[in-house]
Amino acid sequence: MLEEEITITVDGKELKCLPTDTYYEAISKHNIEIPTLCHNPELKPTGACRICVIEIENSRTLMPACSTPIKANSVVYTQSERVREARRILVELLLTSHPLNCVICDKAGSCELQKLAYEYVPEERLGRYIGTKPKTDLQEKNEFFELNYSACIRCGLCVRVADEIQVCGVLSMTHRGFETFPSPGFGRTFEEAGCVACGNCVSVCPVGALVSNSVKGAGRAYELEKTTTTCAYCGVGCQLDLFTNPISKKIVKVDSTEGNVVNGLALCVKGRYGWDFVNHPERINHPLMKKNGEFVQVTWDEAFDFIEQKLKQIKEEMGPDSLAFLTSAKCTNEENYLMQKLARAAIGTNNIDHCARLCHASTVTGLARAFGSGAMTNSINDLTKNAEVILIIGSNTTEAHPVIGVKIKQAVQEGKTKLIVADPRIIELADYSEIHLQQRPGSDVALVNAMMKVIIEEGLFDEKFIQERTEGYNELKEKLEKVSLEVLCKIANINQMDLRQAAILFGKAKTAAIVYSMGITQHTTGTDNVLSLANLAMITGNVGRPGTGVNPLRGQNNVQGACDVGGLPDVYPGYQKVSDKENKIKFQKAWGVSNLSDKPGLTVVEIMNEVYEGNIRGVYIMGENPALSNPNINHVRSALEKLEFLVVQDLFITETAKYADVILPGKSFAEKEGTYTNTERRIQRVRKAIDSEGERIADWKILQEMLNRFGIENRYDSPEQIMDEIADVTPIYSGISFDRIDKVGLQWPCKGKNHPGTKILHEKTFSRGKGKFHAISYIEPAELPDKDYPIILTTGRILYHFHTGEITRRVKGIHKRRPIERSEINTKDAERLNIKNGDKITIESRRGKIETIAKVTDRIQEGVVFMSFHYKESAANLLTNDALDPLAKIPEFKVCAIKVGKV
Amino acid sequence: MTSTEPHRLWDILKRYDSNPDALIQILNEIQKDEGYLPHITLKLLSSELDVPLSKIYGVLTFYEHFKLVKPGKIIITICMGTACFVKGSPALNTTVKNMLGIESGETTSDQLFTFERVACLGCCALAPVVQINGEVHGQMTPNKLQKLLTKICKEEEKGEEK
Repeated sequence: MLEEEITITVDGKELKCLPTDTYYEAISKHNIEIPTLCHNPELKPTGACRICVIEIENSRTLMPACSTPIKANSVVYTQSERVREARRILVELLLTSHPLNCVICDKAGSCELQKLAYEYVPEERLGRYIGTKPKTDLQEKNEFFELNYSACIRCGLCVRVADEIQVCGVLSMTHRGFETFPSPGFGRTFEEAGCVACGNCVSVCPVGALVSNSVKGAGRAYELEKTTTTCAYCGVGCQLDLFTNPISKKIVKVDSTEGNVVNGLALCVKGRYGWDFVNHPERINHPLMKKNGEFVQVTWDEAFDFIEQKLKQIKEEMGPDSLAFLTSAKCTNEENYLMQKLARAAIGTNNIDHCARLCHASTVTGLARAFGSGAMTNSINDLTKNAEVILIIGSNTTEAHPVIGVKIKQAVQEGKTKLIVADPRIIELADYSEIHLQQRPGSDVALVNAMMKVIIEEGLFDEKFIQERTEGYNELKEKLEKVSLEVLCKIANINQMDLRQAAILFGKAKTAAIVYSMGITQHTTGTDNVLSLANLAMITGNVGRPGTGVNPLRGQNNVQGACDVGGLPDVYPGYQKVSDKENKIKFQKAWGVSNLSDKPGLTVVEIMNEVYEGNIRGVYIMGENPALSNPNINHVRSALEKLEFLVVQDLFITETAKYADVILPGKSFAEKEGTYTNTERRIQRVRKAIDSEGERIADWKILQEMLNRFGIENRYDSPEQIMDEIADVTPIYSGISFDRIDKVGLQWPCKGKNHPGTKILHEKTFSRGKGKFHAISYIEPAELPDKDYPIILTTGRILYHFHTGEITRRVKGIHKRRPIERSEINTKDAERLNIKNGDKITIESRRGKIETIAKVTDRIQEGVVFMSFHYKESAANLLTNDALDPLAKIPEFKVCAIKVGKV
Repeated sequence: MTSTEPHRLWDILKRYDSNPDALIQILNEIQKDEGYLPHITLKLLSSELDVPLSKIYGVLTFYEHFKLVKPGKIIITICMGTACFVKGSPALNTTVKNMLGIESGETTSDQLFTFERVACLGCCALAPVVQINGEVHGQMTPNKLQKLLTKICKEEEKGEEK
């Protein structure tokens, strides 16, 4: 028995418990069930429902187990007649004002009240009390769920989830007595009160009061099958359960996986409600080939034969580098691995890249240079549990990584964490911050340099850390001494006092973490920006400990994994350089080939340029949509038009697929097996939940067939075997196997079958040995506003949609809520241009012109317009600049010059 | 205090140091000033105190005392406490309903009368009791109440003519 454990006696059995537990926690841990209606382990107990009462010897009254702390040596009864009678009466009373329409209620079978009534209330006592059924004219019915007030038992769980998990403040218990109901108040709808449709309140409702629209008539809880898998939207990697109806073969609902370590209870609107696309009628069901300008259905054999013949022909005529491959941050690790193997081993080219190039290429180059490893240094939970200060720069976390966003909000609400937000827009987290620095887009280096200057001046740098663990500090210091704080603040257009305050707050914190995303990376100075943040972390000694680090939030569900397993033109799986001879020999041996190229391949934007020039004649694209996602898409589209041969493997006929010669129908995340690697480097399982329709084939099987046709005779029975091969050739993945990640994913580096994975990188030494400071000077963005194009356009994402919208725009509820692009423009700019909120406007850059709707707001600074890139009707990337960061080759999505006009 | 006079809200907030824990006192002061809680003021209050509007609504609907609708010029309060109830306040209730055409909690369309019921006014010896704009009228009967209300209506008409 551990020293700190104490003993209690429960129903005659002695149990050892932690003294900090409540009776509910202690007893539940020993698998003794205590019923409850208002408790959830992730929420603070309130003792509202009283169903969990237990009898404690020498205690006058029955006590609620959920909110009573345990006492050593106490004697407890959980099922005594006194306890059972108390519960029985409570259930009877609840039933008096609850509709007994279980036969048609969608919750029947998973309703907690129904379960309790079944266990506790004998038939003769049903209806013993006569109660009033409260009337209310309150109602909520929206695109995703409804609140049926007559079924509400007022447990308050929805309100507490809104307060403690989602931190949205949408709900409150209103009125009094029988008329008490959860409501946003003032007759508002949930959305009017700021609801973001995460549905977390719906998921905890114990009865049929809050119900998702999707479950209506879709099957009883006990008829549904549950499959635990990983969300296919952003890089947070939420663990969720897909509930499917085996008869209709449809997904019925999605819930977070109980007790998971990544997201806990929380999901966002996309994860919980964004899966209509899986069964969407526009899914491609058969291989298609373009014949006389029209897509016609063909057999798989015909499609495969044609692809094989064309690829071989082009390779023979112009060499392997006349072909290029775009792999996919949406597909599994196993599929990405096979795709790069196809390019490298089957064709012999390193022309393989994917959309990581467009989001975090500069993270990979920057952090690899500074630390030796280009990934999030810490984990989501240590970030939101242990950081005294978090600097959020260039990340609209609550919209782009919603679950990390709510965790940060929770940390602030609990008073554990202070936020510094640096963002050109007043993002939601700015409302939670101590200081909001509203820098001019593209001035991040100046801002971070200014912070470091203050930190050095104030003596807040960590001398010991700098001495022992880093190199190159003096050059940085000298560089900073040469510029004045005034100049730097002027470049960034921020107040010196605010900057000073932010620097001091960051510098003084014992643990300070940096969180960033595409606001940092998508610049021609992307690598410089990342290096600057690495400088800031190292100068204050904030690397290698819980609650610190440099934390890029990865965009796509598997963008981390696609990079890890070699979906990049310069590295084999595990970031092993293709230019290194030893690596070439190693992989030639592993793959049984002799033709690997040691010449780094081309990147996404470069591939399209070479297509345009005619140097690349064939492109194979899996699950990518460059005709919308790349910058300056007019150029991309004219390149695709010129392209001799294009294969697209996807779920839908995307903007890119329209240019294809062959379209292959792949499978969605719900129809196949595999793994994704989330932003915190955690490799997690993706599992098949439903059988797919038509002749779709899982992408890994398609790629295997292609490999076979090029003489790579691997026969994989399942993605599990592919992962075993990945583990063999990828040192950072060498300890990964499907067995080990069955329940909880592991974080790389995981170097061996017994290695527990790595929560925090660079703990004792940096991956490259010593951390390297880089003295960085501010460089202007490639295109600045001028007389002709006087406004800056910055682009990004919104909560409801994802990437090019191919998936989310096919989700009914989401599309209904956010059907069109609404571009943000500052009130003063709008006034000057005579534009009113909701007006149709045109935006024009040197590369293109689009129409959109104006959203006039003060949340964006003067002289800047913000657009999302989700809508093909108002494609922001017709405007964006394809100027590249010289090292990372990432384009400058975040700054270009535009002019705005009224239609 | 309306949208034109937010400075009075600032005064109140200053006195309470914008402390969200003092929400009830602050609501009370606003109502004292305005006679009710105007929505626009509550919105401002929500952002100043950093308390969601739903929470403010939750608090103010818990108390009968707080009003969200601007009350009429004359507030008729009928006591429904035990003593008054036994002595006939339900009949008084009906009288008001019939004469003014409004239910408890409502205001006449001309903004003249607001009708409300309370649990006890604390003067049971005078039961049944009706309070009109703070003035207590004891041992009330439907007849007396009808006369009283007619008188008030006439006075108001005269006042308007002047």
